[in-house]
Amino acid sequence: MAFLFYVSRVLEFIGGVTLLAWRVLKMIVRGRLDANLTIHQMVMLGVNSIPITMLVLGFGGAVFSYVMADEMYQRGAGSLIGGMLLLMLLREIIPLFGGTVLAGKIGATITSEIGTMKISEQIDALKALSTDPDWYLTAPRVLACVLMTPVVNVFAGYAGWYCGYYVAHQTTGMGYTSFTASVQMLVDWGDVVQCLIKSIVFGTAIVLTACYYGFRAQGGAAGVGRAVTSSVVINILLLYVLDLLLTITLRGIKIHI
Amino acid sequence: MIAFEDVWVSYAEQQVLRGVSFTAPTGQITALVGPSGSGKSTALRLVMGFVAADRGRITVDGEDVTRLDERQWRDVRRKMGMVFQSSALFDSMTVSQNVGFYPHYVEREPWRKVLPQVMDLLAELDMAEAADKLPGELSGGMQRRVALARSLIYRPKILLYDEPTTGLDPHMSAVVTELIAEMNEKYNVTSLVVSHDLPSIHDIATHVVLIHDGLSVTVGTPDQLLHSTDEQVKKFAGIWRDQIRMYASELADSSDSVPE
Repeated sequence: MAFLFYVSRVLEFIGGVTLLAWRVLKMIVRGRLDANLTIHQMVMLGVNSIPITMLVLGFGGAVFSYVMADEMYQRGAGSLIGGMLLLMLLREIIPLFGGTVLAGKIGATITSEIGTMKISEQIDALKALSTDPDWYLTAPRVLACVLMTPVVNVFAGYAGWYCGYYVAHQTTGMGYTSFTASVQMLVDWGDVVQCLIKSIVFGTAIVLTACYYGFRAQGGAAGVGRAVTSSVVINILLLYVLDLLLTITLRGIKIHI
Repeated sequence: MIAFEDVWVSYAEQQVLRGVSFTAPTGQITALVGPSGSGKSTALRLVMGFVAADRGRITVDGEDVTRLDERQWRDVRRKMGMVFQSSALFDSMTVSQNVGFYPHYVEREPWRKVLPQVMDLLAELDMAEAADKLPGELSGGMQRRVALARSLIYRPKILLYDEPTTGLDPHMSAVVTELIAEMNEKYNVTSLVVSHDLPSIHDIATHVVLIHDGLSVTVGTPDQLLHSTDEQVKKFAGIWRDQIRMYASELADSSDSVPE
């Protein structure tokens, strides 16, 4: 019985988010969004997320480089450190670690904001004022994240790269030229495209999931708390599932310029 | 005019409204009264389309709104305004942004055109000085006035009030009650008021409907409620009379103790 209950919840979630995504997509394609609302969300969700994401990925790149550098040098593969770091950054660390940070930061923000509006009847007030809550709340956030998640990840990627180089330099003494020598051999533009696609998909999934749980909050402050918890946990889980699916699907994209 | 014809509503197998029928005449203030949990607020939410009826028919200005979808409701709601029990102001927006929400976001008017209309309306409601404040900085009565202004700015034909004086002191209750009557007359709107504040209802309502245990009894005027022979109405009117007597007695006691 418990299994069936969870299966029904999963199906309800997939259906609900799909319908939400469809409604938002129609609004975006028809150009019906309010520019000011979208720009405001781009700043709140995108620009304001850059520092924390850079911090996390900076540490991520540093740790990866620290673990790799010594091992690879001992095995005579020290010259590949830079290329390997960039490859891992582009394929996994930037989209996944960055996505996890965003799931916690913006996912929680969105769910708590919309959840609080729900329990205080502000969503009903929007409807009473002939305003579609998805138009006012969901769509600007989705478009903002689609546009800004890659931007955030670019900054975060640079942080991971330079922190990784710094650690490799401190550990092995290698210079920047040596560090970057293997990049052209190991990395191509297909990896950049994969990173971009994953960033956009993850950003979209985070916002839609956060909005979904926000609109379903009930039961006062505790209910909002439960909604935020569900939003963050499901988002993180979803990111790893999507990462696996996208990695398999996008495997083999190679673009040499 | 708002008309309910044999409306049934249930929440999770609990019957909330059981064949409610009443009419709120055009241009008048109709009060929905009754004990807590009797379904009054549900009736209001049906008029706004926040809840769907299981059976029956609801018409607003002659239009059947019983089975509309959300897009159709958005058009109907342009004729209506609602003042929520909690005011439901947008707490991240200032008073002027709250009041100007409809013309700016729905009618897409630029803010420089909206602001003068907003300030005029706030001045009319004695709230101009609070234009730049956030809802959290306002008292309950002030929040109700802002909520009313937010609805009035687009000149609805129908105004719905969900417990407009709940949580307010007697003075502020009187202010809000007077405002309801004043706006009703000035803007010639149809008002539907859900309230427990029976003395206020007595002052302003022209039409009273008692909802009890999911059923409705159309009483007529407030005075007719006090003198009705219907058993349910008599029981409710008895509570009202007791309230009035208690209030009159307290008033007399307090005036006795005031030194000359």
